[in-house]
Amino acid sequence: MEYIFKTNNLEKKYGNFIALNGLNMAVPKGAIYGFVGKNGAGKTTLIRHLCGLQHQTSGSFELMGVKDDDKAISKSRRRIGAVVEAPALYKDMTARDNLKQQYLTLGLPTFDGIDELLELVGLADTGKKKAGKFSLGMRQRLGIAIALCGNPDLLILDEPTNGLDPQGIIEIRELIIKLNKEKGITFIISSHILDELSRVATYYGFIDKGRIVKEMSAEELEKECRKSIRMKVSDTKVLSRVMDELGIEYSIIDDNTADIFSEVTFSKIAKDFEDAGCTIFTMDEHEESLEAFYLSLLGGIQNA
Amino acid sequence: MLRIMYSDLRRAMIDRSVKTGVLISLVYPILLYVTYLVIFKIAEFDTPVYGDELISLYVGISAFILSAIITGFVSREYTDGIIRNKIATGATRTAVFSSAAATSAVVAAVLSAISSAVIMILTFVFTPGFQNYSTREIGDYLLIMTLAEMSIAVFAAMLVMAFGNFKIALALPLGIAFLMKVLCGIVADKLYPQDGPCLLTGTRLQVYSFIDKYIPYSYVERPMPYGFFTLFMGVMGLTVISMVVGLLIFNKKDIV
Repeated sequence: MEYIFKTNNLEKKYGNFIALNGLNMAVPKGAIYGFVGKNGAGKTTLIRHLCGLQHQTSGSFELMGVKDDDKAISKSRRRIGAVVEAPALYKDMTARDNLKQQYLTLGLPTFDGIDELLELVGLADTGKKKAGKFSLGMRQRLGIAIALCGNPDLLILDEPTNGLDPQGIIEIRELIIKLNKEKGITFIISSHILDELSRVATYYGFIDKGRIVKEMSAEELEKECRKSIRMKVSDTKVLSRVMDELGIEYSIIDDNTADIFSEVTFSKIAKDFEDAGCTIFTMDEHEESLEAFYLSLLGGIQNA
Repeated sequence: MLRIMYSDLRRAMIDRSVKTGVLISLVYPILLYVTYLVIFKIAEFDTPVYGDELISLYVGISAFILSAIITGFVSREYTDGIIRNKIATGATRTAVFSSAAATSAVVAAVLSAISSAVIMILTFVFTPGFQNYSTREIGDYLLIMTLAEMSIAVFAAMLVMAFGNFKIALALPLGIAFLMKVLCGIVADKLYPQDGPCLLTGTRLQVYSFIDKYIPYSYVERPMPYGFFTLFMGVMGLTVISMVVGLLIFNKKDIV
């Protein structure tokens, strides 16, 4: 797999506080990477390092194959767009002028593409209205348009739906999916709103206390969180034998608990278990939410 | 760096602080000229107002005006996330800092040019002209004051860029301008007492003379106390120190 961004034991300390604690992550090219963690977990700190706004205490990272201590890292950054915390806007300029300003900063030879960008983010009709008078959603979309100037390969969005109304959230979500599919842009989206993230992300990185707890694809996560029937039985070894014979997919949780991933007929299962000498105590429909999965990951770390 | 400076200059043209500065540099000399006329009339002076009185009108307050304007202009780059955006999209910190300093210097030069133009128009249209200065002296004076104001603008930009994460940074340029005004006033009083000779000796005299010669804040106190080259050295000194210290801090700091 080709990675657009990789870190190697990245560490950032503020005095005694460790914001990034030997963080290792890898963002696959073309992914919408959902960067999940509660407030203060280190999401924004990591993004600031990626963007060159902060210097790490130790460790390193690679952006598009260029190491962070290489002078060419600035050139790599020209291929990224970022909305870190709040969108960077010139509030006393119109949307069009803001984009022109970004074109000038990037040293782009012409203003071609500005109309297309305004159209793309739905701000083509804002005319002479100054960005300072825009709604939160419009500012967020303008921030994304600014980040899209120069056709970046990687877009970093830090909490992009913060403070948006439901309509704004839908618009941003659709825009992200569209840009990923049509232009092949890789996204790193940090959020603590898991439900929202689960609608767009194709890859996940779970961060807690400055460390990546787990990285997985959306498919892997779906597998972890899919619907199952949770059975409490007297012996899961016997359950394994019965399920293998029936050709039903299952996963053992502990000595007495297992999840089975198939529609089953209760009376048939009950008879098979009775024949095998195993008692069923309970059978419940079970679906692990993304939140529950995340909490179980944190629990795993905290119990380790 | 030039592409960033071009975009910074474009922004300066519509910035609220800079517009306010332009307005002040246009109106302030006129208001003071009118005030002079009124005072002369009330006091029944039988001499007219000469250009000599007008030439330092703007210069006297320029350190305060520039400190406030540059603070407003540069700090907005922080609060609006512009600096963050520039660095995140590949501009080097050196380029971002240098551009902010250079743009501030250009703003100072423009404000100085506007106020000088207004003063010259007032002088040549409404007064009998200059009484004690030759054309060359006036040219030298306006040039060195413009350079002094540019160096003060670079210094103010450095303070905001280097310490922009802290709210205190917004008060620093104006606070320093105020302190320098007081200090330079004391230095001038001691070096050039109105009654009697200067009584300073030894290290104290050297320190006071150094401030008077090489700190551009003192230049805006009174017209051309030293030769052009001496004053130019002071201007260059403050500019170079601002750039070196600013780059050292800005390149190392965490931008949040």
